[in-house]
Amino acid sequence: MNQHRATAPSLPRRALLRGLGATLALPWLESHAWAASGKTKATLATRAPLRFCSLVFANGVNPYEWWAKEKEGSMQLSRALEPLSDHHDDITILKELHVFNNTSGPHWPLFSNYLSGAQFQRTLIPQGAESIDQVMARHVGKQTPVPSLVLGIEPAETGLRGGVPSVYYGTISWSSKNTPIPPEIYPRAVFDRLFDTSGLLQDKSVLDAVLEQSKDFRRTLGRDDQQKLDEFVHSVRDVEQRIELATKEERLEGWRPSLSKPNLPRPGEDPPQDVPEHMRLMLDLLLLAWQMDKTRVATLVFNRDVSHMKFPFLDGVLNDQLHGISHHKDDKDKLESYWKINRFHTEQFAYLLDRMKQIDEGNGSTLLDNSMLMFGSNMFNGDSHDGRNLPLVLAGHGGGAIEGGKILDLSERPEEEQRACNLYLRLAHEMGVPIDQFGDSVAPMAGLS
Amino acid sequence: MPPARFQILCAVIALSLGVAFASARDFPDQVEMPPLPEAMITYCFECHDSLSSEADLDLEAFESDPLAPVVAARTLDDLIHSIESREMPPRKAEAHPSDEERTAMISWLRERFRHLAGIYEDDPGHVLMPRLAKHEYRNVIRDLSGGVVTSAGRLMPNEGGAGEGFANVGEAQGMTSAVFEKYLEAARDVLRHLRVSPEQGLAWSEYPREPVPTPASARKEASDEIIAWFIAQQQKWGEEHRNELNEKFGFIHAAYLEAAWKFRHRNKLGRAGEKLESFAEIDGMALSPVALRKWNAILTSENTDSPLASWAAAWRKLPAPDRINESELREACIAIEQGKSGALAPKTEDYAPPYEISFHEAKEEVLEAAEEDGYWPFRIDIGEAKELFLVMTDAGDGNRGEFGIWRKGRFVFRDGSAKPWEEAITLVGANSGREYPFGIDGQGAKNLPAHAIGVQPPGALKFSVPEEAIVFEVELTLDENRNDRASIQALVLKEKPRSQSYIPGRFVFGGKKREAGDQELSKELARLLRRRNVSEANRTKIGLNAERNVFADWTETEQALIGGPWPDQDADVEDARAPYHYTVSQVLENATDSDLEEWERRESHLRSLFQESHQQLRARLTEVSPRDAEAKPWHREGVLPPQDLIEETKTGNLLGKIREEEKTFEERLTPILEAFARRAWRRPLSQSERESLLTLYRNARADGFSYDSAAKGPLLLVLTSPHFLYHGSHEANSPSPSANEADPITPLSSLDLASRLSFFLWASLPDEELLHLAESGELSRSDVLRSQARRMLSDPRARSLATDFGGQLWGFDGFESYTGPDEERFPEFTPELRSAMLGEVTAFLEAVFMEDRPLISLLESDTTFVNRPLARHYELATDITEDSFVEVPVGEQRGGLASMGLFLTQMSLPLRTSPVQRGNWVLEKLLGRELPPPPADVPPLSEDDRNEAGQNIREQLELHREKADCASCHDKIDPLGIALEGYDAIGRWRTEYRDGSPLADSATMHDGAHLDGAAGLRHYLLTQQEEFFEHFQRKLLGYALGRAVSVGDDRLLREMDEKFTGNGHRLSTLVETIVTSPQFTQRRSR
Repeated sequence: MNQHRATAPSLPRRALLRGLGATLALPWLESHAWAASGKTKATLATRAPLRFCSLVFANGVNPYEWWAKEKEGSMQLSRALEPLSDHHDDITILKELHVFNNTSGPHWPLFSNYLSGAQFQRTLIPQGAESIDQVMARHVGKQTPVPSLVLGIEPAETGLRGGVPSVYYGTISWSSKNTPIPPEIYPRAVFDRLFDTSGLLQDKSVLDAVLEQSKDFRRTLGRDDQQKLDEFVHSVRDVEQRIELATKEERLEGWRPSLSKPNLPRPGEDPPQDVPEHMRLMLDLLLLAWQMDKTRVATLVFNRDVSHMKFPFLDGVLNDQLHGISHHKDDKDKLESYWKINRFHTEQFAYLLDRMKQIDEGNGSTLLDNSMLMFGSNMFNGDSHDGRNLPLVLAGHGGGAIEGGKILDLSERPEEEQRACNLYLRLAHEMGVPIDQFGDSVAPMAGLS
Repeated sequence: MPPARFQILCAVIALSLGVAFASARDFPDQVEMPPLPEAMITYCFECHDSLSSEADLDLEAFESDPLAPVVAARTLDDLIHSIESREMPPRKAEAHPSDEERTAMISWLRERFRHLAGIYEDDPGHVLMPRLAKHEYRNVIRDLSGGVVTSAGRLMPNEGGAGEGFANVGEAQGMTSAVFEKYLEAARDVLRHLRVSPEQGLAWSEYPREPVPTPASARKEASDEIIAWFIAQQQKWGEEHRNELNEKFGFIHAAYLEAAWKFRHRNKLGRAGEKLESFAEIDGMALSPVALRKWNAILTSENTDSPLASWAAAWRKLPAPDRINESELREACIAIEQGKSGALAPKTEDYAPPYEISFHEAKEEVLEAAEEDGYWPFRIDIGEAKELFLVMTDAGDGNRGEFGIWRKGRFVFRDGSAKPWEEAITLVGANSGREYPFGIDGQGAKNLPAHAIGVQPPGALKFSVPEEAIVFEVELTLDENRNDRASIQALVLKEKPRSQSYIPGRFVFGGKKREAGDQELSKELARLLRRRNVSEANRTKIGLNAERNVFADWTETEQALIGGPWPDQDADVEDARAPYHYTVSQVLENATDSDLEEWERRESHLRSLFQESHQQLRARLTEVSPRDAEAKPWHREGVLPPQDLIEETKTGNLLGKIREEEKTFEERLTPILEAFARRAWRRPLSQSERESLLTLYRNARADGFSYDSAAKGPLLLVLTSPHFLYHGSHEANSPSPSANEADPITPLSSLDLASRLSFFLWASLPDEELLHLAESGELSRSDVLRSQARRMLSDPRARSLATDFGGQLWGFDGFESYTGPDEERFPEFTPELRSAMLGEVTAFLEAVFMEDRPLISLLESDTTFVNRPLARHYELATDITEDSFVEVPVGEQRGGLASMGLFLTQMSLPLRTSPVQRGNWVLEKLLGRELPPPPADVPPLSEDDRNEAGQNIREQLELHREKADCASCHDKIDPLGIALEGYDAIGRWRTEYRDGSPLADSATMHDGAHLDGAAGLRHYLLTQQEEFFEHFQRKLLGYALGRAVSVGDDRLLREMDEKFTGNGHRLSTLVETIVTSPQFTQRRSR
């Protein structure tokens, strides 16, 4: 089921030898033995773990207002990126990365594959590939109560859209090639999943009984249905494990999460009507999850593809849906709305960085130092659905693996080096995931440190 | 004429209608195409070879690679359609086939299609077991809870559609731990709506309760329920009873006058010796024995001070039985009631007191206070309270979008000084703790004065009481900016309400107009009554809680255990004489046997909560601390251990008693669990399953969990078991599939068939009748299947076809939160209007589907369904007084789905209409024509009505279509949308554009059809009805089967269409054909 099989530690070298010469990154194992699985507990405990999150906004960027230039050891940022100017030492602006050689076309092949690099087919049953966040969750997720968070703001649509399942327009996390994970948009549900342990003890014996029943049930099923049930059994087991973790919260020694109790009230049942408030709440929950080490891997989809989201609360922005604005046709008003909306998303990201910088995780490091965040969109100019150059900002220092403060322009490099999957592979290695290949990657991306 | 793609199949279908195949069949997973004819290579490969593969069509691969049959068939179908319609090759192509070549290509393609259809004919297909989709989960829990819990699983995500576009396709439904947790959380939430007790079994409540009640809160809850029961009983024999009489007979009190007369003359009527109570009926309808007794006392009293003295006098003058017949008697009684027989017209307070002991009657007065004074005052004696809670809920009448205001709050301090609340406190949300500033209304807008704060119910605010404050006063009123009428309940409490949504019977406040009539109170009297109500409210500190009188005959000790005793609440003597006013004991006198049973169940449950169970007693006496934390509060509470138990303990027989009690508990629970699981799992349980449920209960009991908690363990298992979450594939009692190796096709068991049927028609569980027929095996008979399908179609649960099937098919699910229209341009698009638009569509679809009207009415109809806001929006000249939806003639302007406000609005842009979106909706969603997605670099259309060059949308689109690339699709789309230009962006009829320029709403389709406005579109759609029906049939079949329709279904589609056409285009025909088809009644195992 999973295409990125774990391999012996020596294997990555084979992939690495394919033509990147002197800029080769170190194989994952040598530089990051500490981050590998729970077996190396003694080393694990001394420093904070790494966190990963990919934050995605939909419908691309105003092509004239998304750029960065080196300027006297600092960065000059376009208006849409300008909220990051306080953080330029912590960010890497990536240029000319692409998921696969996407040119313009309809929307649907360009969104849901953002984190997997899969090429989507026109089909009536969702089919993609495991996304990099879920690969990470599969490896490091067992160390925390919740393997990963898959968050969203804009509700998903039902039915088909453009002849394909509408899940293609809202989901970037896939746990297998046919299992998209719909983003959670309810802050309360996120909160409860992370922090509510009431009733879990009793649930445990119920879940045991559920598993017991599944065994009997399985015997009565045909082959295909048995596979469905196996998926179910795995899910129940995962939840059981989470319950076990949640009920023995204490850790041995060394590094401890910076918070032991939620510092946010439980959110109300309905999500905030107000978009900025909703986004802010989700970001706060994400921070809280990291501070309490409830999870280490997350994705957040600010708006779904072909977004209906409107931004009337921004000054000088047309009261139209994001998707409509992204098709600007070089119209002056639309272009202005477009970059202001881009900038609004950048502000959300900057807020997250601000907060993360303030959270001390011991040994002189902050939460931001111990994280790797991707912020961007699945296409560049939304008007032409241009997927050939992802607008992408990498932030955080990956526990020292990412230097930051630079612009990494790959436009002069061969196509193989421009593949986003190289970046994903590199980030996965930093997280301690022993894979030697991901999607169409050729080698882990170099040049970040 | 049937569509072309069906004609070719005539030859094949003739043989095997509805006959299951006897011999084993093989369905290859992939098929291969023979080489394409030369002509196709010549004319098609220019764009559709592997290199170009325009519009995702690669004919080289089509020819050379093995294909899934569904893909092969779809491609063939598309090819036939586009070559036959001469859409392909396109005009711009270099070479075009001759007519002969064209015919040859088509017949080759048809031959291939026919070949495929033969191989796969009636193939049940790959249908993996689906798990409960979001809407199914909601419906299933609704049915399991007896209709009480109606929004279960609402936090589940939309998963999107697959197959034919529906969420019920098992193959597309992944399962991850996050999804399973959603089910787990939803199940926990469902169980919060449930109380399990030995006395009452499963008791569902509309609103969730605290998961683990302490004894005190359990008692409070039980007593609240008893209060609610009393109120309902008072209502039943008070206002409801009077309404019922009025509706049935056109009079009210005359019924009692007549009954009292019969009692008076019982001897002459041959009923000597009968008691007054036995006369309490009129034409077979029961009257209240209590009211009759009071009327009898009033009528026979000589007291001339009585307000009803003139009635009594007139009644006494009624002739004896020998001088009057039945109908004359009734006339005479009616004459008295109407004040026509010398008696005075009665005053309201003469026959019904200004308030009864519940809020329900008082509400009339409160309503008047609201109408005349515009507010309702509260005055609270703060006492020891540290916090106060302002709770506002809607009145449970289903209306949404109502807004209330708390205003002019003030505190009176111990030293006599006073201060307005905005200077003394900060208001915060009772749950969120978030601060709410004064001056904002229920939508968060800063619309109100500084002494006021608005709330959209349900909402609870709280504040800390300032030091030394002894009295708090506040006024409740409606937010007139937001609504001019509403019905809300509100309350000021000294403790946090356990649910924002549930207040057992307080008062209703609203601006509903009272009907004018001869019973109008004089202004003076009205004021008097209001004063009395206000003083009553003040006296009882927290509004009208006189209903506590329910427990008046309890001892003070007992009252103390449920939060009493309360100040003296006896209604005054005058009120007690009013006929329709019932005291606590009188409620019990009125009650029917089944009502009494319920009362006894409730009371014994409440009383049982005063006693420790044997189990708990043992724990306490032996100082064995129960593991369960929730049991601990019992030790701290002042509960009363039964005296005999203490004796038992001394004599050492306690253990035996405990065992006995546990045995009784378990015996009561066993059938309850079994019935619940059987319904939820849609089949009988095996012995081991029964045991596993009980084991969970027993273990929890042994661990010291309460009865309620322990019983919820197995219930949680039922709701998280794969037997519950997956359906369509449980054969717990059938042989393993390996026994059927020989034939991949097997009939569904009748239990599976029952589930499939109910999930198709109701998106929910089978009901008892269906389950019974399944268990007996009768359901496998096709006549039984058919008659069940018919029965189910007219059952209210079949509304699911309108909302769940229709909602996904036509894309209106989710419209309840649609916020497309620009708020400034279209302030008329309020939540009220939005829900009215949704209501129209669902009411219309329900009528068509459930009343089995011809489906053509979806395209063209003389009527539609409107409520008051929508009638106003549509400018329909009907005087609809109700809030509910009424079927009305629509006239020339509307008719059918395409002209409904919902779709017109949803397919518009924020500032203007979108002929493209509207046209595309008609084309795709009604006619089922799929167009390729638009290229990214389409030329712009303006945001607003006109672009910078001053061209309106129609003009812009005309330019647009001059480009050949655009024209190929937009020639088909735009005219359909332009014909709908007579409706603005929120679906209002218009005759000119906003700037006053003349409307342009006629256009010519690519096939030459001329559409003149909405009527022209309707006419055009009628000419395309075959296409509409074909699309509808295909989608219905896909929904029923939970998979994409495939080539093997062609025979069935043909059969459906034939029967459908022969039978007036009715849904029932399609449904009956589907549910008896091989596809529906069989499964394929590989």
